[in-house]
Amino acid sequence: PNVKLVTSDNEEFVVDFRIAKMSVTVSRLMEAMNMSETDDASLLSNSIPLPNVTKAVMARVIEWCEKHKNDEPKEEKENDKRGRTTHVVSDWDKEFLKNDEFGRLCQLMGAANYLEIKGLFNDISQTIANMIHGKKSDEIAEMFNIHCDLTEAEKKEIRKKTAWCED
Amino acid sequence: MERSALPIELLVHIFNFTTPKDLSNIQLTSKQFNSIVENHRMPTIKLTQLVIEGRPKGHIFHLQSEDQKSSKWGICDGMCAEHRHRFDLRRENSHYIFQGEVQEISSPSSKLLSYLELLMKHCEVRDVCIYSVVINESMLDCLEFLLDKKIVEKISFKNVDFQVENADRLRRFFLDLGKKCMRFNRIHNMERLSPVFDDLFYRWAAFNGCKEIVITAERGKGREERSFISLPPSAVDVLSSFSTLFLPAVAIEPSDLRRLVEIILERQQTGFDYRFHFDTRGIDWSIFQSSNEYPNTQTWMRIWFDDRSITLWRGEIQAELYTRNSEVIVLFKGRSR
Repeated sequence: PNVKLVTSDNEEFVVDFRIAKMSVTVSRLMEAMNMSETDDASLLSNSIPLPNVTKAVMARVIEWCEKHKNDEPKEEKENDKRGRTTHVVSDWDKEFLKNDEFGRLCQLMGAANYLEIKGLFNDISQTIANMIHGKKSDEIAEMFNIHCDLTEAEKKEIRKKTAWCED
Repeated sequence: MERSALPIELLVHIFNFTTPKDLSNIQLTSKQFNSIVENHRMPTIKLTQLVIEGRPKGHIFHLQSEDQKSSKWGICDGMCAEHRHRFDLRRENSHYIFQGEVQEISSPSSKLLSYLELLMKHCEVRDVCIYSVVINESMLDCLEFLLDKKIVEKISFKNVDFQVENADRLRRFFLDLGKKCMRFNRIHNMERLSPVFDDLFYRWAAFNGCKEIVITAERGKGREERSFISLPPSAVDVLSSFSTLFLPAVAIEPSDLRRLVEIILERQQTGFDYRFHFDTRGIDWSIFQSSNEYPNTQTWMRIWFDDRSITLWRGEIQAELYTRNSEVIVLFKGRSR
């Protein structure tokens, strides 16, 4: 059975029921609209509106879901020895995300968050964190397109406070 | 890409995947990012042991990971980076150590507390060791702060010198300390402390679930450990509820020692190994010789006093005293059941 998803720019995507169920948000909406796998009529007569996702981003989300639709649910390792959250990004996912510029990654992350697709959400978070890793503050600021509004005194204070975490 | 495109909850999520070093760089990018890192629970380093070690004129922190293999680091009492530069601190096994004379770092001060606050924000410290530290009012602020942290399970002291004028405050501190597992080594200024080491101290330790108390004294080269505190008679009853006490610096009166044994035997909590270490020098062990009226026991029970032990065996009353050279002296032997 297929499910119809409609993006903010009125593009309709017809996806496999399993793919639709990968999104917690879509699952909830289908439940609320009494759409079930065994009821073809309900699936045909309804479509799920996704006002926070554009056509371009939805296509990427569906591509990711297609690849992962048969994955076993995996347990996320909460923290590594250094206390940070760890998520292993598979080779396929690295390849999938590697050509996305930072802005597109953020849009995709926003969509993964809205659709509640945990695997994709963590893949992107880890990818962006890896992009930040080892960068100096001005490089990070450039990456996020932000202007530093800290005074030198404030920077000095922050440096003093964070001196302990030198690698 | 404007940063407003990523809501704060998404930024927080990304930052959770970063390292503390990356986070410190993120903080330097803008007020907003600094505030995000400051106000959200960011990744902590799981360094479970914190050592605060006093140096001639300063303090140094060592932090050790659970596997003791990695992630050690330290800061001194003062502005770490500047001191490291000024005092030629070098990194060894990835924590900073002092090299040469340190002249300008003050003794425990309010700075120490602010560093501890920062540290506890970023590290999951469970075990705190205080070495060679003058415990003055400022240091007591730090210790009270640590005591207040639920995550800290154990606080140990070695070679500490208590110079706290406010006896009531010190007393309150020790009572609170009873909530954590306590280990004291080489505590100085016991004269000042003696009022707080009364039965209430032990009682609180027992009441708060403290399983182990260790109080040892300085052992000079080629010299025996010296005792510097006597066990208050009123504490005997409480101490009998512990199965392990390591108090070689605590002198116990012979009559109290005998009472302690009697209480334990009366309780007939069998199948236990009791290990009590007191300063038993000078005790005439024959005090047990006339003690042939202990109640019958159902199974073995062994009570150790340093290198001596009293053992009661199943089905009969029989106490034995072992000496260091394995010579067995049977002190009393009761009737069979």
